[in-house]
Amino acid sequence: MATPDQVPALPPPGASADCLVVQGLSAGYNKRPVVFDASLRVGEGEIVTLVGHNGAGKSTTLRTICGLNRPFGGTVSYRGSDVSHVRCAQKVKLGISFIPSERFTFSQLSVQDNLRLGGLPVKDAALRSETIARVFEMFPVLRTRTRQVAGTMSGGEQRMLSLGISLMSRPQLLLLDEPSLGLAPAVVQRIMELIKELAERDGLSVLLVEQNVAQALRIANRVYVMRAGRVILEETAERMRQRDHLWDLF
Amino acid sequence: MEYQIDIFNQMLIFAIFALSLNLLIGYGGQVSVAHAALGAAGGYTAAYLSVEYGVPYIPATLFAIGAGTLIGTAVSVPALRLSMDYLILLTLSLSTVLLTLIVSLKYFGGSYGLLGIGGVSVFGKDIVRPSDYLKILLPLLVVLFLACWRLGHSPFGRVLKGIREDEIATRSLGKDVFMYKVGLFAITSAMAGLGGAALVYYSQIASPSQFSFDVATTMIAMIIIGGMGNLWGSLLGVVLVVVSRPVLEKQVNASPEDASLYRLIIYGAALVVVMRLRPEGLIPESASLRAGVAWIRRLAGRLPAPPAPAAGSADATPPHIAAARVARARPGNGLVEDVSQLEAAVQVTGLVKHFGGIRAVDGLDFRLAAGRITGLVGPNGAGKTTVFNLITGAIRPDAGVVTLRGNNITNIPPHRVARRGMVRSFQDVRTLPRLSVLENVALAVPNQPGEHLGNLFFRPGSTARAGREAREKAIEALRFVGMESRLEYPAGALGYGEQKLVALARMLATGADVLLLDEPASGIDQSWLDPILEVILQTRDMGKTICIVEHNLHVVERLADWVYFMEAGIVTAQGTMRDLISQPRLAEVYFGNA
Amino acid sequence: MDFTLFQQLFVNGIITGTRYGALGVGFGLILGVTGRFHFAYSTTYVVTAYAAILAAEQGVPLVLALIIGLAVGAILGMLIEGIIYRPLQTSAPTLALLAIFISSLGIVIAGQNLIRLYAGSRSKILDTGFTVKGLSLGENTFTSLDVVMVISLWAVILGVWALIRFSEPGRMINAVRVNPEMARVVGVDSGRIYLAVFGIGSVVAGSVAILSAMKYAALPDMGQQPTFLAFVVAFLAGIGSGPLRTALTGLAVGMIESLSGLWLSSQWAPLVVFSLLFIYVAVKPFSLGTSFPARARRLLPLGAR
Repeated sequence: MATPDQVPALPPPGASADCLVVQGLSAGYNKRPVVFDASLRVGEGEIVTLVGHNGAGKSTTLRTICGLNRPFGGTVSYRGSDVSHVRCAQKVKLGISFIPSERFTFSQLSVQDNLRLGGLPVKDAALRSETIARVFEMFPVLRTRTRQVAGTMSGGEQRMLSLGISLMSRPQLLLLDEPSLGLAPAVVQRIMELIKELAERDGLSVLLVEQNVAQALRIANRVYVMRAGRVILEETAERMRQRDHLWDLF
Repeated sequence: MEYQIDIFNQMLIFAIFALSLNLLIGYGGQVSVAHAALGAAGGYTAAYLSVEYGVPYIPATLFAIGAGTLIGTAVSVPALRLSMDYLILLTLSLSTVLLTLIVSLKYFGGSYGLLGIGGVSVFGKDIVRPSDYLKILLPLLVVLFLACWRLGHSPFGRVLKGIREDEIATRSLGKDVFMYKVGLFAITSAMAGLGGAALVYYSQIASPSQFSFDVATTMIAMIIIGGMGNLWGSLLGVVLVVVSRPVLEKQVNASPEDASLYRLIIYGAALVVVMRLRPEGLIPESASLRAGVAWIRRLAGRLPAPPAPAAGSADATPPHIAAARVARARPGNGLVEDVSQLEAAVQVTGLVKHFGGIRAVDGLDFRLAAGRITGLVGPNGAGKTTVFNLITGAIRPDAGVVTLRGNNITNIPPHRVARRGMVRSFQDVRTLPRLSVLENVALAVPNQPGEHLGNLFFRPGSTARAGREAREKAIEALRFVGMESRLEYPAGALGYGEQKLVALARMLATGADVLLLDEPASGIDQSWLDPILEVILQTRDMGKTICIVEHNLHVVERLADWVYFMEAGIVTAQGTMRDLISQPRLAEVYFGNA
Repeated sequence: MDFTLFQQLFVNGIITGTRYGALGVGFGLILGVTGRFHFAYSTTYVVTAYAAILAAEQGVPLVLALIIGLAVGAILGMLIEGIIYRPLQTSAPTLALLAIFISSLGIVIAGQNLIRLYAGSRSKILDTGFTVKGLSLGENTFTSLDVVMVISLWAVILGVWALIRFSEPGRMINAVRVNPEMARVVGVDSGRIYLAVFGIGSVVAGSVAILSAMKYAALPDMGQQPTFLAFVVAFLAGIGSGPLRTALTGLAVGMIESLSGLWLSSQWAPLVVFSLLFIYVAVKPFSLGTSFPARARRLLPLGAR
């Protein structure tokens, strides 16, 4: 595990090691901007967390990166190519996978159907069955529940299913919107550990929006803070953990 | 000459239907496909009474109006409680069923219809020729047009447009949305019944083809092509549609039968094209007679074009208040006040609401001190917005009591809570986009005589006076928030920050003294934050009681005199924002534990 | 009660109910997945019947003529979605529901009269390709065409059910219906799914249209009554219900309508269906505030609360 000491000083933006670079992004809904001039980056294999008060524009930023919302301005580059205006359905084929904060499964469909839908971008049948085996290995609870309707599982199981759906598309970059929402503390911890494991073992890059700042900081390398639609701070997770109080950032 | 008059008379009769549909769809935003069928109900009632019982013209017409109103209202009441889909579904079904029954029931002459309708005689004069009919139809239409105009351009009409734009926002300002919709449906059904009787008497036959689906769609085409929400547009639509028949028959040299097919194809295509390319129709809602005259004169090259109002945007500069002081002393000479000593404007006791198995609100107690700003904070999902919905009556609580100035208001519907003096704002502002800023705020002024039909038609003097007063009140409220320079802009063209201020002015115009603000600072650019916060503070200084739900804790700290901390549906701490911040346990709840 | 009459009405109820069920399945699929108030369902219905008839009149073999009819209907349905509805949705999302409904009214009236213009107003009958024989079961009578109709419509209904249940495109349709946003997230192109759903819905409606043109006759306005029934059945079954539930609801409606013949003369049948709908709407709990603009706003992504 990379201790915070080993994390080098922040490399310059746009360095080749960056999986995702967002520059000067503004975005919103119905012509109404919610995010103003946001810039951030995620290195390969890095876990970056984006925190801030509710309504600060974190989710909008994430949704714009994954293509659900169109950016009003600014650029989103993924592994060196500009994907600002690539549609969501295409981005998942490029390896960018988003998990929303709510309604993150197909709740009326079976676990099996959920995972099959997650695997749509993978056309090779052999690769698909290999991926599903890995997902079952990672989340053994899903293997025993393939017939169960997703909406009837517990909150934690549904979160795991959402990660499973996402992994089925063999992503390189995971965009997670508040995976801790509505979960008991022990389950939150388990989910966070799984995310960390994914980043370390599979080299996935992760951009994690979190309300539960303390939990997010435990696994993240770096952190961005948003307030009222702007990124107001970039910091290593280590230094952020050492802050006495977080209130003044919210 | 009689031929031209005949065409003109047909226009007059169709205009009755077009005015009625435009009031309903264009002004009230309620879609009905049944108005032609309601015309059939009226027409067949009149015809049947005349043929079978020899009932004379005027009483038969009154029965026709009654039949249209009765059937229309009875069918619409259940549907108007629900979303628009159900209104379309039910009116469509009503239309299908009425037309089928007319054909299949033997009393009504099947597909041939009812013949032998009595002659029309008014004041002892027999009316036979088209030019005779003109003498009664034209005055009738003028009177109807004026009445519709009065209705549409009164406080009553403003409420209708409010309903069209956003029912929930209109209700939150104290208007009984459901009753307005039912009233509107009854009025327009009555007009359809009248139109049906007029058509049947004029053509001296009641037949299914007069009220068929083709006719129903033609009527809708008239108001869509002409322009929804503008009565002149409907008249233009009627003229275009009715005139197209002789024009097609003569100019294109088509047989009457083919010409009618061409016409219907053209109307159908026109509906699709207008919806796609010019949804506001030929004469848009905002157009007025004066603007029309000016436009014609400009065409003639006599007037320069007026400067187009620059559409507001997020970049518009904040109003002058930006310059005002932002740091200010809190009430109570800057000392921390014990708000529990102050009178409670609102007292909430033991409030409970479960959704399925989820306890959204679970035994909540809090009070809003009169003349102070109270903040409600807590982590995501703590149930804060649900609290607003519960205390304003938008959702019924499972248990608990809400009192406003000592009066129990639990389970009272939202519009009555608003009238008692407690109004709320919405996270997504919910201004009424196609109404002007002034109309948005004037709508909120309570107790306007012009919202009642009786006053509109029988007490014009006092109604007009009250209308001017409402306008003054609205302008005053807009001046207070610094938006008086934007009176005539459509609210939807404003930037988001400006819309938040308009929404605030709207709440002030209701005269309510308790204001519940749902995320007043969310989604606005930094440059708008100070002006909005300043206005909220000034509102408190006027003596209003304010409650805010807000996630930006800096905003809460600047505004709130007292803060309740909510988690999992109950209040777990209270104090000033500073007090709360200093409690490590709350930080853990808010930011999670490591 | 007259038991023989009851039996006969019961058999009639199965025949009409099957028809209503299929109509509801096609429309319910479109409404449930796309949310479009597709009144022009009526147009695809009529066009399918006429395309098949015109093809058969040209001497095309019957089976091929039927396929041509169904294909024309399906393509028309997809064109309406792609060329008319979708641009309205994109250009003015807040007004789209009203705009789509008004446009579909326009399509219906234009379509109906174009057919009158080209094919004439008089009724046309589609040849069945076999001799229709009267059959009897006990004292109940029906025709061999009725049997073909019931069997083939249930085959269509079950086909749609199986398609949605077991195939990959079906899973994608389900995904869009259940959670449109997640569907986009996993890479489903919802635009294509909408087209597919319009195609499938039109084929289902077209099957009913073809059988009706064989049993009764085709008329330019033959789509109005079936569209009314399709709306009623789809709403009674509940928006977003699966094909089987919708089909059974349709069967129940047809059965109730038919059995009402025990007490009412058949001319009141439409009123029976309307009353069912009226009662259903009247007992729904009050939920104000979903006028078109407000609902459209809710459909838009509004961010994290």
